[in-house]
Amino acid sequence: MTDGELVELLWQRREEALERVQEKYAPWCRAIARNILGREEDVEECLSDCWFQLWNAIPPARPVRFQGYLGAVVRNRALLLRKRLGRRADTVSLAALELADCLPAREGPEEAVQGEALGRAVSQFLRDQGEGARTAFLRRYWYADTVEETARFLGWSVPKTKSVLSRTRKKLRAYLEQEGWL
Amino acid sequence: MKDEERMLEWMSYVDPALVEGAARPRRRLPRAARAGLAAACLCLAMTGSVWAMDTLLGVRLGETESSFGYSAYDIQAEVERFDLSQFSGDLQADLAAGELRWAHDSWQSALDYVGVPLLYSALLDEAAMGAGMNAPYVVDGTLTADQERLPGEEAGRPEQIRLAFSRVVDNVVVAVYIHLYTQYADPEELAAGVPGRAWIGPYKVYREGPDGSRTQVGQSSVEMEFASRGYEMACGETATIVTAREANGQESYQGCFVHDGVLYEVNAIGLASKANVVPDFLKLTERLLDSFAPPEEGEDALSSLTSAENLI
Repeated sequence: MTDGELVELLWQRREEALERVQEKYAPWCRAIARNILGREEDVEECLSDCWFQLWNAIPPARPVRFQGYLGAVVRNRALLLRKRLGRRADTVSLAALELADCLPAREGPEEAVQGEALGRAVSQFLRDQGEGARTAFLRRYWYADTVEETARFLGWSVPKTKSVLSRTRKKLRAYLEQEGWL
Repeated sequence: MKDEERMLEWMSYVDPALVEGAARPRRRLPRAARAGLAAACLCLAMTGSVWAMDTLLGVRLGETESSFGYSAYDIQAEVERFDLSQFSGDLQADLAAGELRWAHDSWQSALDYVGVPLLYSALLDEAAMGAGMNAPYVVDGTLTADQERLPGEEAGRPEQIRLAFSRVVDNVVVAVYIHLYTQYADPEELAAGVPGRAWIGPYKVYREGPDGSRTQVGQSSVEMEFASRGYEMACGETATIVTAREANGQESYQGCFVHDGVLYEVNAIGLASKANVVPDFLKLTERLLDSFAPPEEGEDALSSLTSAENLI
């Protein structure tokens, strides 16, 4: 079933909609949640929340990119749960620390608005990179794969993966400085 | 909110289309196709000038990239991957225990500790130590310069053993790296190229006033043009000198060569202190390359190279 058809099922409030979504994307969603949460029981709780959230969000939302939208729902839910439960998967903390130098450290009420704008800037930066560097960056810092998992995903050696990640972070920092974010 | 949490949440705003694009593993070309690509690159390299042919089998400029905020190049070199058993027993034992003895007071100490014969430079050995160095010679077992060792990484299996030192020669800070890649280095990675140098910017440009105050007058990028040429060293090796040229015409140089499978890297970084006369950095780089020789020939090779007039 295509993503468009899944969105249509949700819009029609068909009961089978969530079943079809899970058939297609449950393993992928589970992997995202597991990288952030670590424990299986937390992953299950997260996914249950996500299916519920998805059912409530669509409609009114009609995402053009359903898989990406779903991934963001799962990721955000997992991060919230992680904060609430105080559980930390090491790889997520490490990934965040690696990125810390690249991204602005501002705080305040404008943070949510800044987040979306920053997301657009980071997205533009990633579009300008080669496919390999872009994928490595997203696997490590969005999907929270370990460096070894990222290397395996790309078919690269671990040293090459580390080198590409390091260079991409430096380029991102330079790009954000140029754009006035830092 | 903690910085760490902020970082993670901001990444959630990345375009979902990009996230989808990274959802599936990339498909690699079959080995035969990759070999074909490598052969094509070699043919392209061989259609260059004669001096480029001279350096084809030694050290050559690899992949380059240049933008407003980031420029870098790789070095491709025919290096050996040393088995750890070729290093000294002391180094092997220290590696197995998880820590190298990194500080060495003399060339001989560092050489004995590494255990692999290396070319010697009396010029550099006898020059004053560069500022910021904690020891005359430093031995480390790390990844290449712009890679990072992450927590939990397996100890005792470094990709390279590196000997590093910094000196001041004719008021110029010089950084030297001698890279001995090990059996743990990825051969495909080595063939593709090791990091040369990188520039990150943009950087602010200041004007100093008569009262010593500084005013920012602009912002410069780090867009670079890279070129390389061969250089015949006094010891008979052929080095490659990489020139990095900025938009304002300023050039900096890196000299690289391979001897017995070991990659040597010589960088004339900048002035150690203000001076009215600025040395010719290119000639200095050549002089530094010429100063390397097998230990028994060190004195003879050095004798004609110590005159200050050689700088200009």
